[in-house]
Amino acid sequence: MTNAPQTGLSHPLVVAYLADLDRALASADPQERLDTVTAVTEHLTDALGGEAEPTTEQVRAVLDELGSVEKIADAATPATPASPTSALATDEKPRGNWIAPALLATAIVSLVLPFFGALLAIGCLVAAVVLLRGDAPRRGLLHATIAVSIVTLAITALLAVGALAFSTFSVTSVNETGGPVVVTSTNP
Amino acid sequence: MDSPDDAVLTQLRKGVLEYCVLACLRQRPAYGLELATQLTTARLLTSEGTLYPLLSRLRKQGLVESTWQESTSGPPRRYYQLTDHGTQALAAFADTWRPFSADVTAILEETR
Repeated sequence: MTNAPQTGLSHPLVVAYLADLDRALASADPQERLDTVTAVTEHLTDALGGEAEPTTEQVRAVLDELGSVEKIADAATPATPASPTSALATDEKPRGNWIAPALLATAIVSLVLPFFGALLAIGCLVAAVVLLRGDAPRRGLLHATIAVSIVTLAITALLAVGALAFSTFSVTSVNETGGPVVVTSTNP
Repeated sequence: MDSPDDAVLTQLRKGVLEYCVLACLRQRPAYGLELATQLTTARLLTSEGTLYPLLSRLRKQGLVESTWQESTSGPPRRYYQLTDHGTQALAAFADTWRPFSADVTAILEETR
């Protein structure tokens, strides 16, 4: 830092100006804010440094040349704008809005398609889980898709078990010497 | 409220000011007040303070760098100087500006 003469920088107008400048730059890029306040302080040190004790008129003249703190703040870069999440909120979400309802509809259709529906349900389940791991919109519908897909898979599993339970198998071994084995199956 | 002429001039200045700063540093390094005075005298800067956010950006972009140097008349001063990248950027701007300004002048003259 500079060894600034206190007479110039400690003038009430200068103190107020630097405080106002720092406040005006509150929404600016932090590095730019720091650089600007430091550089303006150096500028004032140089501009008022020649005066052992500058008059109020001299200080006013220097500050007028610098311009209003609002003008300086307008020339600064705003701090990092919207976060990626809020960018998605305004940009990405509308584009992906149809995906969740479409997945839920497909999952519901899979309910009424025995066996083939299981394949659809697996697809819907995987897609919904993948989308939920990202920033997909309509997350409630994706959770519903997962629930419906699981129900479909459960029904399919019950149907398969039921079909097996109602099947009868008879295994007849003709003899113990390695003769032919006859397997008959009778469906109800 | 700015007049239409002022508004045009403000926009034109905004577009070229950073290159004018680089041009001011082409021959030798300069400190803030010195640069501000030079640009104000050339009517390229209306508020000296607006130079400093720009200098911060130029430094961030690697177009200028700053060093501290002793002063004979007071405390050490921060001097700004062009980097190689800044020199190249200024040369590229100059190559673009000359034909561009000539084209604008030509169209203004032709359509008089």
